[in-house]
Amino acid sequence: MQYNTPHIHLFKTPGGYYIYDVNRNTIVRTEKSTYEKLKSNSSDLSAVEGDEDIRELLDRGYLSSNKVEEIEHHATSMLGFYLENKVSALTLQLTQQCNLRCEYCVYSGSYHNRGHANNRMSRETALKAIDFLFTHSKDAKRLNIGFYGGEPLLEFKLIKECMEYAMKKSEGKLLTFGITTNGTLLNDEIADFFEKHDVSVLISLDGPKEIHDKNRKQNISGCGSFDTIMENLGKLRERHPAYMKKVSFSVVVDPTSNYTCVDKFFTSYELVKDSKKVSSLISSRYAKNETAAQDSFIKERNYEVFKVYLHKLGRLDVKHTSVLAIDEYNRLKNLHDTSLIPAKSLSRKEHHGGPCIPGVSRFFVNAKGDFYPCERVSETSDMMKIGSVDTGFDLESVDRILNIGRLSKESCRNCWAFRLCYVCVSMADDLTQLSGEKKISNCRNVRRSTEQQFKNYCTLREFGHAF
Amino acid sequence: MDNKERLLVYPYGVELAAVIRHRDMLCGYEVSELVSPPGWGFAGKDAGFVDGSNGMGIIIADDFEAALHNCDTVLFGEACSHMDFIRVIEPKIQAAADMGKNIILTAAFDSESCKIAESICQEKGVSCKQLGCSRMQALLHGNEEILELLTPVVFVLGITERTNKFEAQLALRRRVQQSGYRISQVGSTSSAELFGFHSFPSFMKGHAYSEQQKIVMFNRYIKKIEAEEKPDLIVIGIPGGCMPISSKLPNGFGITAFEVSRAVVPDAAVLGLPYDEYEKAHLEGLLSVIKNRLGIEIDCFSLSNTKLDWDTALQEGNMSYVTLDSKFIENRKVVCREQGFPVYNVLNPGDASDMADSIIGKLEKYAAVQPV
Repeated sequence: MQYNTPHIHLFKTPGGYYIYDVNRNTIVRTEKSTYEKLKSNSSDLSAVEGDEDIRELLDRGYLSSNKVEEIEHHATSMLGFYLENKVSALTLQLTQQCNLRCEYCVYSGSYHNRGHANNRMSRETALKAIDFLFTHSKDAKRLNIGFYGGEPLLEFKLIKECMEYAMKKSEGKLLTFGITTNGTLLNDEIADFFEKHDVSVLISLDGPKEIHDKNRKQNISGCGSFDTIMENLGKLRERHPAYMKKVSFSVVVDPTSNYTCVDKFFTSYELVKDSKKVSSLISSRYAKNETAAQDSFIKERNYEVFKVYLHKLGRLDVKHTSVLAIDEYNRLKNLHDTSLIPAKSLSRKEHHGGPCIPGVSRFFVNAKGDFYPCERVSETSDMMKIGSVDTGFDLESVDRILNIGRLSKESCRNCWAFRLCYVCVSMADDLTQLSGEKKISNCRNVRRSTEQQFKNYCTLREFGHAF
Repeated sequence: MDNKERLLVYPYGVELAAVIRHRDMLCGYEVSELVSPPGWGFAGKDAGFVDGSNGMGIIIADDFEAALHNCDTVLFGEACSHMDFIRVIEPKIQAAADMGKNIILTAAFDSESCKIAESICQEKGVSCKQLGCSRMQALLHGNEEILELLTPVVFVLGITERTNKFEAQLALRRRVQQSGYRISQVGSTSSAELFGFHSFPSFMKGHAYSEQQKIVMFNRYIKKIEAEEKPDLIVIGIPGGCMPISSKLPNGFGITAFEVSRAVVPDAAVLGLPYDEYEKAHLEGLLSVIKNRLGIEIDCFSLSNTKLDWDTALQEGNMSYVTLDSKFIENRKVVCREQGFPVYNVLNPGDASDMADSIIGKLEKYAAVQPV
């Protein structure tokens, strides 16, 4: 092991001093004196190698300067086999049309993506995609088919055909279905059918009426959609109260809104308070203009996150905490459970964190039958296409998207956030090509947010929290 | 005239690939049909497709009812344990019994399901045989002394499941018999009984005995086989994985392998490896861990064409695999051999023979120098 320029990141909290060792993928608490010696000698440890505390760290295998030599995802040499045998989740874009015109929708014209259009997926294309899933999932025990749009419930007849077709083929596999919907068309017939087949329903709902309706409006009337969704939810609960546990909400939090109001709604409103929520901010990927968060929003949100942490330390009752801010804690738990798994060393050949294996974790089929890694990439970008129902996977495209780190090799191999990075291909897409420059423009945010996570994680540990 | 029963195998998948590859060694059965559930996507493919190997010359179907017309007996395999018995398996048992077909169940079935199957068969006057349920006489008597075996013993064990263990066991069986030796075997899967040898005793799996009792009983069990069958060689296939993979993937903790290693001292051992890009340090480390933990010296590695899918395994908290092509792993095998490790690909027929020959050769050398 080489020791002179340790591949580490130093940070501190009000309560302690820490070293994140990239090779060991471990956060180590240390003394202030050691922290300062490491900080002063970060480019060459030889002057302090004899120091007792530094020696102890070196002897225990920390502070190595070893870095990755080649950027390559571990699945690369076997990619063909993964794509042939391990596909398990399919998302079908049944239509590019929608009965709403949400202000922040990625298809609203405010993003570098396609707009709303009348393209519908044909029955033939849908069934071909389902066949493709079954013939490429030899090593997958569970399969999932998700319905997407536009608004997929505009194509309920096709949904039924797809589900009936898939269920007939599915003997021997555990097959589940899901749908992402705006909830306005969820009538009794659809509700009964979904309940019968245990479909997971994700409804887009942004908060109380005045906040939800600000952005999520009907196409023709321009009126908000909140009342219609609530009416449908009320009927659904009356007809199938037990099925409500399969209904969850996707909350797009507008950073210009009142965070506390949104949060209070999801904590107390009868029809939604017991359901699972997944929250995110308005997406900035591919956005033509960014939406800046108001100071008051940031303050309110941070305060709610703080209260969640207090609850986790046993100092605040859960009834006073935010159901949306819990996501922040869950990210820290994920850091503990799956990201900070101790290692011996970085391998000679490795890829930074972030990319999933396109097509394997899931694959998205648009209305025309083209394959994309997921619904978050731009359909107008040729770089993002990874195949089609007629030609299958394009191995070269998948390889290129998977190994996105090759665009920024030097920057990545020297970065302390290498293992914890979350940059994927959508953040490197400048619509004409996969761009190293665009990719690198995300790096500062990655390092800033990762360090902040480290600090929050360590602070909770200082107060005795066990994840 | 050959009185072999025509055997329909359902659901045919990777767990039964070794059985079909060595179907010429089946005792009393001739494979007539392979049927997989439609959802597995195997219909119309050669049987070798399921484990990424060469063609086996028999095509998989997905129409169970149609296949019933071309068999005498239906084998319901291990994979049934992952399927809905009431909705999927029971109707097929009923259909088979209605057509006068005998039924064989693997040990994957719980006692409730077995009772239902037996009842259906009894009503229709067909036989219902359950594999892996050997009724052993009491093996526990007297003290806990571990008795020495006088016959050479070979272990076949794997780091994880899906390391072609049963394939290696059948390859050894074939070669040992071809060499003119008498072999007794305990297989790692209940399909062993289809080949006329013992399946892994059920007392090792249940909760009826303490772990100490299991170790003593296993020792007595092998000693009994030695006394009754008087073999030249005993091969023991150890089910499951032999060690934890990580704190999140305990892989059964290697308990069975540990208990077997306390009960019997092997003279040779084959270790099945899931595919990975092993370097010298990895293999040396594995040899050391197995030696220290189980007291077993590994003589050769059987490199599988199945890779552990780490990302999915960590996400789901269960072992998850991806099947590679058998030819793909040849490169890694060569690299490992160049570093001095005896690595074989048992799906390559030449390698399977060579591996068996190397084990037999070693044991023959031992036999030349026998302490008295």
